[in-house]
Amino acid sequence: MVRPFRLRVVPPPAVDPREVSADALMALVARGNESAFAQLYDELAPLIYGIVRKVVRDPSMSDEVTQEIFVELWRIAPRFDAERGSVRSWASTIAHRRAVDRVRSEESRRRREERDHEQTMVDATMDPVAAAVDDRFDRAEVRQALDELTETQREAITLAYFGGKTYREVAALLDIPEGTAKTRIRDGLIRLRDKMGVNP
Amino acid sequence: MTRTEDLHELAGAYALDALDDDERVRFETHLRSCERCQVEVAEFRSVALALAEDNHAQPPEGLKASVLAEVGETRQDAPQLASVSRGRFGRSQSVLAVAAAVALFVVGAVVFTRPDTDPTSEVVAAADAVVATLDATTDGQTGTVQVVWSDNQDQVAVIADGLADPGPGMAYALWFMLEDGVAPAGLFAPDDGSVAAVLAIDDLATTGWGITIEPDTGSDQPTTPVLFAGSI
Ligand SMILES: [Zn+2]
Repeated sequence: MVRPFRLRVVPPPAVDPREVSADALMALVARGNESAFAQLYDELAPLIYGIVRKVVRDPSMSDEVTQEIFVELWRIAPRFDAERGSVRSWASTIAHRRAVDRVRSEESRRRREERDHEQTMVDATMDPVAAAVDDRFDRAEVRQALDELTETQREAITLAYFGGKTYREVAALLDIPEGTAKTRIRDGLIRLRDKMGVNP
Repeated sequence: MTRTEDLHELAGAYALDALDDDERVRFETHLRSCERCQVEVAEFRSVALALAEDNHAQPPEGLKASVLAEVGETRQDAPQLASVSRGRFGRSQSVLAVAAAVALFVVGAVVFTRPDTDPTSEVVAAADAVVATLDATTDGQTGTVQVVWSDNQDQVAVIADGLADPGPGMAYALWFMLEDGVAPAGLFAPDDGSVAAVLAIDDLATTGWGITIEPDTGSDQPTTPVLFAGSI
């Protein structure tokens, strides 16, 4: 028993668990804490489910893919490296890749009956991208930035990101050359980046 | 599609997962050696995140329970696997050689970097673990501190990041916040700002935790202002 000392106590501020950021929770999740993961789920679920529903569309398949994503986030949490970006960025990158994987493998399954699912398991988050970009954006800024793109840029980015299409599919859908689709996507992202003030 | 200039052009489509498998593998090979594309991909992923943040959707009620049930039965990967396998995600012409190399690394990783070498993992994973996130008490204070406490194990884990160097001869001190005062719980020192320390404690009905900087010989009572505090 530690003997208590009679001292003036600085009243500790109450901690609202809802205000604990995903980044703060990650240190615990990475060490196997399931209740921290439950909190992390609450923090990330609207973001992740939003991505999956857009890309996958089918509601019950979206639930399934979302569950797979969260189990994967749990499994690989010990490998998360805060110096390479925020938890939200890491999780959204994985979620988008998994959603796109599912849509593409469903499509090719329909086309060819069978397909090797293993090859879609390449880990999107382990590529050597530059570290830590400021992820805090104002929503109005995002919408305004989107509005200022050319129509082709906006359509190409929306079809690729929310539609889960490859740039070749984007080209076919918009009836433009493949090289043009590729360039529109990159140019559009550069304009969004500059408008949003993304600084590495 | 072999000119480098063409490969740079793929950074946007890559960041949005809009490349075919073949092209993706080719771009990932390029990405490893191209700093310009590494920066661009990171920036474009932030743009993509901003788009996604403007597109939230509420998942169905029951999903959380099924996720947590599956998580309860899923083992986590070993922490060091990432740094070992980083840069090995692509496909090589010599598949066998890569497979053999990866197998070697995995064996090495399991031998040398078992997750439980982190002294805090036992407390943190304890069934009765109670977590408190401590708040900085002043605006200028940098760092994040979490305290995890397990009665069954008579231990408290301190997990912190971004802490300032306490200075020569000084250490951080963790304090119990009791109803009628405070009591020392132990000292810890950050390593390059990070802490993953376990302190032995006795049963104590604490209502929270506080952190100050004290001489590394310890103090009976705080001698400096509280830097971080949190209730349970
Ligand atoms: Zn490049």
